[in-house]
Amino acid sequence: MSLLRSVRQAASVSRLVSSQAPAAHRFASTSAAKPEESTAVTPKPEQPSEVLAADTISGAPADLRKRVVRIYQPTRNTMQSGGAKMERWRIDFDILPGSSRWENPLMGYASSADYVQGVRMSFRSKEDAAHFAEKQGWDYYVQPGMVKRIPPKNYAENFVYKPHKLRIMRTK
Amino acid sequence: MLSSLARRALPRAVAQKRFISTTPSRRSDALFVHRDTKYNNPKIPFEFNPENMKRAEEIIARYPPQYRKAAVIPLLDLGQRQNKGWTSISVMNYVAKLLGMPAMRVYEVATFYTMFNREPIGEHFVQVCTTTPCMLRGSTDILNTACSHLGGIKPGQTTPDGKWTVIEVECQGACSNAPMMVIGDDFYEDLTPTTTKKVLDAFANGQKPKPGPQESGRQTSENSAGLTALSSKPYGPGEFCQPEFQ
Amino acid sequence: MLRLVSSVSRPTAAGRLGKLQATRAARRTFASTSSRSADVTLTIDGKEVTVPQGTALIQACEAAGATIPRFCYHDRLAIAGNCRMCLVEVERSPKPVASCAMPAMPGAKVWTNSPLVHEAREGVMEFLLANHPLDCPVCDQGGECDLQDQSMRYGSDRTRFHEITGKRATENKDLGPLVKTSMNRCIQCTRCVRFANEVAGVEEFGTTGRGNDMQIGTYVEKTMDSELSGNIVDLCPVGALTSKPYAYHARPWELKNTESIDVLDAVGSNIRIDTRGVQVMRVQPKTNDNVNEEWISDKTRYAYDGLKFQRLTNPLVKEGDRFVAASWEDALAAISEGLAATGAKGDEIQAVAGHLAIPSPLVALKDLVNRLGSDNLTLDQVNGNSTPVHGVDVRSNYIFNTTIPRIEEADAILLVGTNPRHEAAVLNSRIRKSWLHTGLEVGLVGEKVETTYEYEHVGTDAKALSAFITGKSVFSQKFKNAKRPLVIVGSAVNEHPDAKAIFNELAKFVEVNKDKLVTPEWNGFSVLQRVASRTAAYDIGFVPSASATSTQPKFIYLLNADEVDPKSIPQNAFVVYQGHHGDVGAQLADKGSTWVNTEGRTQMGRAAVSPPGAARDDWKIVRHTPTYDDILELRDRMWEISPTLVRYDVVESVSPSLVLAGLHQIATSTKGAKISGAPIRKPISNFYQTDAISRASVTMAQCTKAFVGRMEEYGDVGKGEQASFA
Repeated sequence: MSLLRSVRQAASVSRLVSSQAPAAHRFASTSAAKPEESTAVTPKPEQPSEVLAADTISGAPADLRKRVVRIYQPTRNTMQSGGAKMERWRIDFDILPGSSRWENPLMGYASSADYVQGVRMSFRSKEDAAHFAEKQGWDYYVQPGMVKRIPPKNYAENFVYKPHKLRIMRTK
Repeated sequence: MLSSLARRALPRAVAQKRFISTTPSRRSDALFVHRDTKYNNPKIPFEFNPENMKRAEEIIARYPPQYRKAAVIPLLDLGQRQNKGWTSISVMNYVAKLLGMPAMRVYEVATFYTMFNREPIGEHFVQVCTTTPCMLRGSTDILNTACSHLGGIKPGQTTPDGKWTVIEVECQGACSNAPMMVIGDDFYEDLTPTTTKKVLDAFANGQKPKPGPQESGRQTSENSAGLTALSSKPYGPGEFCQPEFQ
Repeated sequence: MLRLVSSVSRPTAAGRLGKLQATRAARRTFASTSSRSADVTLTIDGKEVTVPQGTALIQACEAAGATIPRFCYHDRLAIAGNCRMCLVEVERSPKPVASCAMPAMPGAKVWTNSPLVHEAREGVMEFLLANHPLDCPVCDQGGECDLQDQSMRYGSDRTRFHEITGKRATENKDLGPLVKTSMNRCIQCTRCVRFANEVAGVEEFGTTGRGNDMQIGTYVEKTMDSELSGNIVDLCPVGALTSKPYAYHARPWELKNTESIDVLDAVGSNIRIDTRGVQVMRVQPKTNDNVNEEWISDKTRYAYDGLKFQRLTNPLVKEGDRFVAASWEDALAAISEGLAATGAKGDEIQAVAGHLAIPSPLVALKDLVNRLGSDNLTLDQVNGNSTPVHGVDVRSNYIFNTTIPRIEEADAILLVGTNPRHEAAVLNSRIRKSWLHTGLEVGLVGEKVETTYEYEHVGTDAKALSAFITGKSVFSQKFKNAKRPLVIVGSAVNEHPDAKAIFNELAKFVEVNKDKLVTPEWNGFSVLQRVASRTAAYDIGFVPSASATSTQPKFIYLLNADEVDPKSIPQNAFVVYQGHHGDVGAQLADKGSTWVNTEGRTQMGRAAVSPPGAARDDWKIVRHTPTYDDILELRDRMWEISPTLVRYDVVESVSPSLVLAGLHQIATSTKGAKISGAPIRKPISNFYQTDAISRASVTMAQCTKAFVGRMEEYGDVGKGEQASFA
């Protein structure tokens, strides 16, 4: 929290005296990415106009801007019945056409020119995620969460008398 | 494959000498998957004879028309009786068709209930109970007697002449007359090795011995040592009434 | 819908949906008893939840945010209650209770985390593991196995199982080329049996034997003949049923998953593509109750290996009779030279949109061709070079107006020239679901097909349809009595010689019965497209003008068009093919794209792996008229053409007046069409091979071999009155 505030202050300073703030740049780039995830209380998203573009101070390479990310809630793995990690909102990157993956001819390992191809971030809410993406200067697409419609189920339904022709012969 | 062979072989070895800690892993029934054989494949036709068909219709009529499937057990039994005591795949398919059920639903029933024999059996089907009460009363002897008397077959086997099949079964609910065996549809109870042989011989001679306790002096399942209660003469009508009613 | 109301402050999936529950007045007066509500309130782990009456206790527990381990219970299948893993403690109950088979009772006090429950779960787990082989290192389920996870979480670390005869051994079953079985691992939850029986409509699957000897299988030798069979792999909580093509290929923790959209049919099933390195390892369904629930078809799931084979990774230019790999510059130069050399002008330039063409390149291609002065935009189908009968001006004329989830509300469905089982397998499972649980009646005009529900065969041609409309057929009475009737018109109708007559009849029929078929609450006229690109193509207006239909093309641009009949291409024409399998392109897994499904739901697909070799995104290739420089600009253009193309995940509801106006337009444009009486044939005879990807897929070829021939054998057409047995 305080760290962020200091970053923000540093940034406002840098905006004022933009030519003389290399130290602030350095400071922000080493730590700006972390606190967003680890702080228990995420700061309230501000108005877009006030969004601080992180890369102005983070020192992130320019190609990181203009990346397209998707913000979504992962759905349950249909292979399993557990629903862990479904409540968080995730950011991941659309692949870079052409430079995403190739197979290393010597060992067959997969190589990549895209250094965020494995990055995946989780947030408590989509607003947090969107705010983060805005700050980073990413184009983002928020995929709406899915509504689950499961009717009330009842064991007794298996044995209910049907007056008309049976359409299914139930089994164990 | 190997393990299933091993398991099939195991009960034979164990049958003679049984330990408390082991149970035979295969009981009366064989594999729960159908394999086409010469004597058992879907191409062999099966149909109820007119008499059974009439009975089948009677049975089906007991249930609501949409629940014809409820008649599957009685119909399979009927089919088994008509098909020399065993339920072939054709019987199951026929019953499924008759009742308008998916065949698998019939297979499920036929494989679930152990009294549907899915392999051919002998003319006389001998089922010896070996569950605890019978076992305590000497059913192992009865089983051994039956097997050796029928030419040294093993439980679960049919004699080469196709006359006899002996299997061990679980409790038939006649524990008070243990040990017992079932031949065909009848219970032969209070058996001893001698009476077992007698019963079997009688069947072999084409007779049908009287079902129930064999030479134990009991009529049914009454106490063999005589009554312990209600032993006095029951009082007759009016015995303890006012004198004017006596 | 299960409205789960929770008073719990913990943000659970259910809690978000629910509302806070007002505390009920504890005081009861003499005059009134508390009214019997349709909801029941109970306490779970000290938290109060309110759920609808008739809810299973396990659902109530979930609503309260308690995790209940389970194997046999599945949200979308009937309750079996046979694994006993979901035991919970209920106050005043002498024993732990299986929460899936127990209804939620008002006022019940339930504990899901008490010592008794722990012990019970441990016991159950011990029994389950007694006969479960220690296969985890060689089992494909490892890493995403419910039994593995739950035994770690709830099980004991030791067993009392010391049977010297060893663990139960069961034969493996042959379920065809898709599902690999390892039946020793089976814990008999019967999810697969219930799925097959209820959802897939395959009733050859069941349990045989009893007790220790019980096994899952078909008893007689049979493969599981269903287009949804792959789903049993997902359902299996252990490794008994695993994916055959995926066997021993990857572990779940190595995979990167990308949520995307299936393109092999027009349903637009939501999928999750699992990739490792540069390869697609498998395709899994993604749950979306508005589209595919939790199922996907076998083609969707297993055709991914088609992405590997016969792929074009470099542009090829024909030199003599050979194709020579070329650079993109050369290839594009060759195209423009070719265009100049043929001297094609105006409508002689033809663009053909194939089955898998995605909207963005379609827009780019249409704009390109239009700019060159041509209106010859053709679809890759029979009669694709003529204007579609239903026109493209009114969207409701060619989309699935009813929407997929609302199929379940229909009480009579008339299928016209369509076999949803093969054209939209997942949608078909909805029809079956509704058919099972409601009194739905289905009628079919068209070739008799094997469906997963019983239907009344109205007839095979347009004459039968008019008989139905005039009330002469048996089914028309049922349809008339229905409260929510639904007409589903297949995409093949549009390709039929009698298309005009059929659409005319239907349009008039709907107009006459508009008080039932098209009301503000219910829209009962739907067109089922069978090809992923078709709805978007119509949306874009990718159809030829009247003059263009008769023009002999000299320059043909095939965009993913793989069904084109070579004979239809003039000898002297210059042909450009852009696609994956046969010029270059990227796709399904490779494309970040937008898809419009049959109900007009625009969904955003996503690239999972980058295209192999020098393959490029389609729209970038078409871009050589420098109209659009980036995808966002292209999306803006799509918005201009049809806003629905970029409104993701939404189905625009169509007003009844618009639907009627559209149909009226059809009726007038097709007035006086004659019926030739040609029978309506099903468009898909081999479900497993319908497009370039699935034809290149080895797995699909195996499926064709294993299933398709046999489908014919088992009473496909005209053998019985009722083609299906349910």
